[in-house]
Amino acid sequence: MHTDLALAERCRANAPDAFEELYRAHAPRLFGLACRLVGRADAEDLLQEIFLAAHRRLGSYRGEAALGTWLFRLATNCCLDHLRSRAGRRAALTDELDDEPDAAGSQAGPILGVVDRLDLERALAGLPAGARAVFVLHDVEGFEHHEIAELLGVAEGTSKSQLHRARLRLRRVLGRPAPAATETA
Amino acid sequence: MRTCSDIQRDLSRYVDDDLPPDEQAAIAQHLASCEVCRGIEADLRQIRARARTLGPVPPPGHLWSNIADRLRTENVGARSPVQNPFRSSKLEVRSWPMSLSRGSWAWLGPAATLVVITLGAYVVPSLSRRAPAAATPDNATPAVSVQDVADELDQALAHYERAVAGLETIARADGASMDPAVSAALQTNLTAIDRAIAESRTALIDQPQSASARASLTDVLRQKVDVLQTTVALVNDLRREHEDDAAEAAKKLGKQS
Repeated sequence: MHTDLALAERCRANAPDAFEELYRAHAPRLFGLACRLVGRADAEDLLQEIFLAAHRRLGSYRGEAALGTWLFRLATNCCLDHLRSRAGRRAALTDELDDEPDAAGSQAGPILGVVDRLDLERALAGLPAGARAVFVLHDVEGFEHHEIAELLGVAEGTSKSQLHRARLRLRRVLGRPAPAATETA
Repeated sequence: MRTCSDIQRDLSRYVDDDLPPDEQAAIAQHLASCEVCRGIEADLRQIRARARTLGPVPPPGHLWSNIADRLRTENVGARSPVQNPFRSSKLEVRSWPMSLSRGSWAWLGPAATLVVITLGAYVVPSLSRRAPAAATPDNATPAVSVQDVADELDQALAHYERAVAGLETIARADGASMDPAVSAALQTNLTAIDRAIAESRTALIDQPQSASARASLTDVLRQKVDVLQTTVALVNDLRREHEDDAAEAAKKLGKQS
């Protein structure tokens, strides 16, 4: 924590390379979060906004939490604001899977082989924004449901049901047979 | 008596150990005798476990330069807040043509994949293993000599060039030609990145102790890998007939650097 406070103080004092040090230490985690929440194309612009906002707000950082936690919370809020502005007033973020049937199939035994990380990333990108947000915050980033509920402005039970539906959707997508490879040679 | 449907509705909470003890026990008892529900439970556990391995994603190298520029422009709190002595190597990368014919990309999938595998397996681990962290103070003693890093870089680039040459042979054998506009944009992008790599290497030779010079070289190499990774994503999207996603990836390629 002393190191975090010292770095924040150096950033506030515009010490050479201090803010770059902050960026290089934390950007990969925040970029991963942004890619998964808003998609890679928007994540680049959003990461810039996150760090510009962090630069402006570092004056309010008092070391109550680790600097990484403070930045992560700021980034999460920026991403969720972005999703809300993109969704407009058409629908709440967590309503998009409500019409999905819960059917998990009736096949005996697991339908998934070993799940490849890239396949999971791709399937995750195909989830509706609200369900994706709950899944990323809970299963990838380790938030508790009550924290997610607070961030999204929904009931805790809604967060739990969205997580279940997101997992079932991912299972269904990942369980599909892979398309035949294209002959190229 | 709870049905399979009832049990399945609570399976996520079960795998999260989020149910009261008596309900956890009741579901465990059901799972012991129901292969269908047990299969779903196993899949949910695997998805949850795999999600926890999704780690950080390195941002493209040019993002820091953009942020530094904007901090300077906006003068946020500013007494010369950010310095980047290697901004002269800023890249100007052309946008990619947005209209893509499926046939024109037929050969590029394996080509780009092999290139990325080559760079990913060779260059990036090599740099992360060999090159000191970007935040290392400028007066720190490097763990290896600059010549070691330069030699490895030369070998990596030679691998890359051989991979591309071999894959062009595959393309000719297949008879598929690359769309000229796409080819030109790819070449322009890679040429610009290669020029920046050369400038960064020169800067590192001039200032071998400089953390900024090392960071600059690493950034531009990451940028090259990024262009190629996006190419792979584009090809995969085309293969899977997600042309909307492919257009987004192509748009992103245009934004890189």
